[in-house]
Amino acid sequence: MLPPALLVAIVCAVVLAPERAHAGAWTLEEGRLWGKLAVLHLSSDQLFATETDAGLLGCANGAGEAIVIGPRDRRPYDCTTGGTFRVTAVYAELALGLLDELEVSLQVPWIADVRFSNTSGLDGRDSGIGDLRASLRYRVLAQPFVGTLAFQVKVPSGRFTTDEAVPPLGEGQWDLTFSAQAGRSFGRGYLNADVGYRVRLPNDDTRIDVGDEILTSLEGGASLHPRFALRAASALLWGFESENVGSAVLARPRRWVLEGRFTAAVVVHEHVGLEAFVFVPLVGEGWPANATYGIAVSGTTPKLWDRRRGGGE
Amino acid sequence: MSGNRWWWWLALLTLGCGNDVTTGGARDAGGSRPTADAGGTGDELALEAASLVSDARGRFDVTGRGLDGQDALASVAGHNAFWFAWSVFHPGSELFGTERGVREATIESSDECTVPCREVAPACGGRDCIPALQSPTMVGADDPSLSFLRDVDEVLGVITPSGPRAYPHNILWWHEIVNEEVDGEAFSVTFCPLTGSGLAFDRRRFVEGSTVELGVSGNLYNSNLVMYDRTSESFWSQMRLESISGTEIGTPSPILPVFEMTWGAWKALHPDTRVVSSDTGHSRDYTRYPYGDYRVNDTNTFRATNPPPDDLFDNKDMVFGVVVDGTLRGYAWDVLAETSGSPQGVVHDEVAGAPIVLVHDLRARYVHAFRRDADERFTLVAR
Repeated sequence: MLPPALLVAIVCAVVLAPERAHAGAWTLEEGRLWGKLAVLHLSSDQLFATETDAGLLGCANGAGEAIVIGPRDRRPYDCTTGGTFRVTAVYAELALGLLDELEVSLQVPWIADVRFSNTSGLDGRDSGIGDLRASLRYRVLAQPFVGTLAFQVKVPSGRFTTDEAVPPLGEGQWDLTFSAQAGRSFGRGYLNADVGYRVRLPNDDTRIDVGDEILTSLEGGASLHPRFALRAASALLWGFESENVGSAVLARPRRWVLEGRFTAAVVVHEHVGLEAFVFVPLVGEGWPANATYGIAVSGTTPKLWDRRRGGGE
Repeated sequence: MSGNRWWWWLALLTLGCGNDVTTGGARDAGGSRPTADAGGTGDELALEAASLVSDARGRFDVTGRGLDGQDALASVAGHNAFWFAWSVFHPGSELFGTERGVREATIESSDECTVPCREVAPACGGRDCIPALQSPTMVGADDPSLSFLRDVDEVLGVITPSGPRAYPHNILWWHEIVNEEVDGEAFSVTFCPLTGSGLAFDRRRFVEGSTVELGVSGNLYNSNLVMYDRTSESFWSQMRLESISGTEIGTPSPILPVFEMTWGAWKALHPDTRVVSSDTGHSRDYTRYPYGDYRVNDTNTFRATNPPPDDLFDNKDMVFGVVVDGTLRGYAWDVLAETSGSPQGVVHDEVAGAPIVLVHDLRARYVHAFRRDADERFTLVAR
């Protein structure tokens, strides 16, 4: 048996999608089109051990002494053969304000390079389209709190395989995410809280009914200058246990992670912004333990139409 | 080759239906070493130059083929494994030539699993993460594509109606299961690198009325391969020799005899052998053992096992275990050599009242057991 490259590939290539640039619960104005291109990179040689990893042997600490792995420990992919997972992905996202309160969006990931290699001689890599995500967001509150309800569907469009020598480009199953967002401005700052529930349908290839997930995040940000802002967030993704579909009833471990997310954003033009961000995993199980780095450019078009004026801007 | 054909069928018939593996409970310890009933060759012979001579039935080669036109010897179902694995899978079982048997332990079961469900741990991304091979391309022993295979590498050998076939460890390190269909016979050759265990199974007798294909489930139990069958999707523990979960829970695995030895010894014994080519359709480096120093690292059993390994031998010492009518008995390689007074020799023994003879040549990493008559004695001599 070899290390769980597949799990890592799934997590890194697909789940760690970039945040929305217009953080918060606001929806786009009617007629506006918003776009974002983000490049993310992760190079990971560790993951957080799961409950079922407890007792894993053959690992050594920095001093070369043998250690026994416990849950949530940072561990190499394999104690004997190590391993490094690298992924560079480009996410393109478009959102359109259908009404001031209603927005639709589509996110298309291009996995530019995904690669897993270790000392056993495995060195698989690939590139291609990942799993598409389509979202619908509806703003239900505007003052003083902004509140939004959202629904997202993830389509298993990325090539999926369990073959450990070929990193997959997608997760292989449909996800349906229901979430609510609430936020409020405080002068130059804002706070935003999200909570969501992700229904994850069974994966027909692995025959694993992957556990549903609860997603929460608390984000705060401030404009230090009219053209410069900083944001910080803590995000918790809590997964329920998975089960094998079919006649075998063996449970599989949950996966979860608590991340710190830090973003610096610069407005370079009235409608164009740049940002750099890092996601730092703090603790978890079954999740890569190394940080993800990214940069993004986003922009908003003038109104494409305006019913109040009878045309666009 | 009629001898091969007969041997194959005889082996199938002799094994009968699946073996019921029991664990725990009181068993007789192995007792003292029957040194008077064993013998080394003194001068070590190349395996292909050795004859296994029965005082009643004449000469056989070391894989049991009659050298004088007589029927082949009937193999006893068995396999090699690392000692730690044998001891955790078969607590309380008999051991040959030691003061006691394997230390006893209780393995919990439930309606869902015959072993603790939580200990059937995921080890990779899901089923088929290690891709099993289906009827792979076979080539002759002198085919240039076999450059990945050295004489000291090991193979699992099966003798089919159409001739001998070899399944190199080098291939099985990366695929663990080969599903075969040869001359209407359907079998699987399996190998778990983490427990050093190579076993063959009859694919027609896992699920009633079906010929199954086996795949790698992506889970391990006590560091050992957990297979699944693509018909019922039940899970099968390779070394526990039964379905551990699913609709077939508790059903014994239909084990078949298999020969395990170095490639050099196998091809010398069977120059007409076919062997799995490196042209498997998968991109793997078959010259490379994937687990570093694992097979010689005494402290690394991949995961902590339950029960812990018996400390009677070192974890990675090899043991050959046999199953006769549900009784398990282990033969540590070192004890066999000590009993024979040589790395090469024969040992006579009884398991569950059935007389057997073990032939071993540890230089060729070969141990195998055959049935014998009660008073029948074998010697290993030059042809």
